[in-house]
Amino acid sequence: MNPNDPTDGALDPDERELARVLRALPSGEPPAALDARILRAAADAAASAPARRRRALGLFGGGSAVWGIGTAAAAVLALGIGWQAMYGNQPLLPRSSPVALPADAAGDDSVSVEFRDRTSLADKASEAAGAPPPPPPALADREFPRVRSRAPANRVEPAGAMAAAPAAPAAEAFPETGLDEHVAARAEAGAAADAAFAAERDEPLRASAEGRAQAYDSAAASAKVATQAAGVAARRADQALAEQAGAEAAQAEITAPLRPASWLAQVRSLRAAGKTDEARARLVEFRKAYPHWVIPTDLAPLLTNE
Amino acid sequence: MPGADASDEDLMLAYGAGDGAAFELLYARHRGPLFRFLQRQLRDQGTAEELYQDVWQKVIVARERYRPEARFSTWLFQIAHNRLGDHWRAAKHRPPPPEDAMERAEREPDADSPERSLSAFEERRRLQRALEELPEDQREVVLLRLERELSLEEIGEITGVGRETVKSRLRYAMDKLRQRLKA
Repeated sequence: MNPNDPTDGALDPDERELARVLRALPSGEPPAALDARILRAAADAAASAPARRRRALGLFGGGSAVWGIGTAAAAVLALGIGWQAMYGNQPLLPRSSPVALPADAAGDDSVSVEFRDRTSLADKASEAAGAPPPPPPALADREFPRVRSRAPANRVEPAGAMAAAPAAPAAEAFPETGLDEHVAARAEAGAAADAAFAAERDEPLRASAEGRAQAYDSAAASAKVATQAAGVAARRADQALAEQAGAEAAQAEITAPLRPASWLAQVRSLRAAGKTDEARARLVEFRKAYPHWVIPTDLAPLLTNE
Repeated sequence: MPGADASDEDLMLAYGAGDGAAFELLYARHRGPLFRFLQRQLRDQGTAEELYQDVWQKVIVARERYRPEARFSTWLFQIAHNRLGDHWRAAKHRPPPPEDAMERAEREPDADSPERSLSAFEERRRLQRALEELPEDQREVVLLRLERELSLEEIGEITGVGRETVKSRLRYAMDKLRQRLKA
């Protein structure tokens, strides 16, 4: 073993001698202002609500809420359609004429294409069904804006990302597309349910039991297709939200302010390069962005010359 | 509230539970050592203050997650070590020694005799230069050993390397310091 190898316990005499010289080297202490600032920040943090609770609340304020609502809506929709198809003999409310679902809806990813209101949905359904009375415009206009307006309310965007939002139309377009698809699928499922009710309502006019069975089969098939379409739309909505989150994160990264250390390093670089005015301006911006940050003593003179 | 003789770990747990006074005790115990550790590594008062504030900020933010699986001081210096690593990566290279380093050393008061003062000054000057010449990882290890009197295992925990690596770095660093002081 090398006799000069460091030991594991207390300092040996050689180390103690070096430590003595080391401790005699000039050293400073944190400035009193910095001490005060840190202690105040610690006291404020201790007095505030526990961060864990805030984080838990945050989960319900972000995109997961939209995800949860979408999933729950799809599940309720599927159950409702199933119930209507099986036990929907007694309609609770008067129903409008049936609207059939396009047969290829489940297999077609464009099932929800470009809907902007229920009128256009009804128009699309009409083309497939042949004789489609559109839903009352008043109802159509009332429902869709409510769904659309929920999307931005649930998104938490960093200030930088919000400021840059117009420059990133793709990121904005995703959630609307996803939600539109969801609405479209739900409307189509409603149309399928209507078809089931219509079949039941017209049943007395059809004398034969065979006709009734066919009507039920048709309605059940439509409901199944609509359920699948709702699933596709829900998945697309989730995907759209994930893509939106990614785009927002990327945008936030681009536009986010510098970390304090990097920012101050930039100020130092500017000052070292002789760009004192620019350095001062950046430091003033820094103080606005981080009002609780202690300005390092080497940079403080820049502000005194403001 | 834990008393003044409470362990660092108990104080930190109390602070995590909302006891602001516990933090004050903890801060008073570690402010000097932590600041000196950063200052000796960075050799720049402004940057040392900046990183010092950053380290405490991280302690405050992580107060509820703290678990006394290691000594508080080990955890604190781990944070400082990581923050220094970020700093060196961002700076790409170590900054040059401050221009007034020698003047500052000369201004240090020394009550001893002129002969002894000269000798002590020369000793400090040599050690200062030797420390500056060490690679960052060796300098960090030797400072933790000589100033904090930590064991090889504790230094390994802080710096994230194994005991043998710490031992090797420390041996190289000590050899260089000894040579410098004898030269």
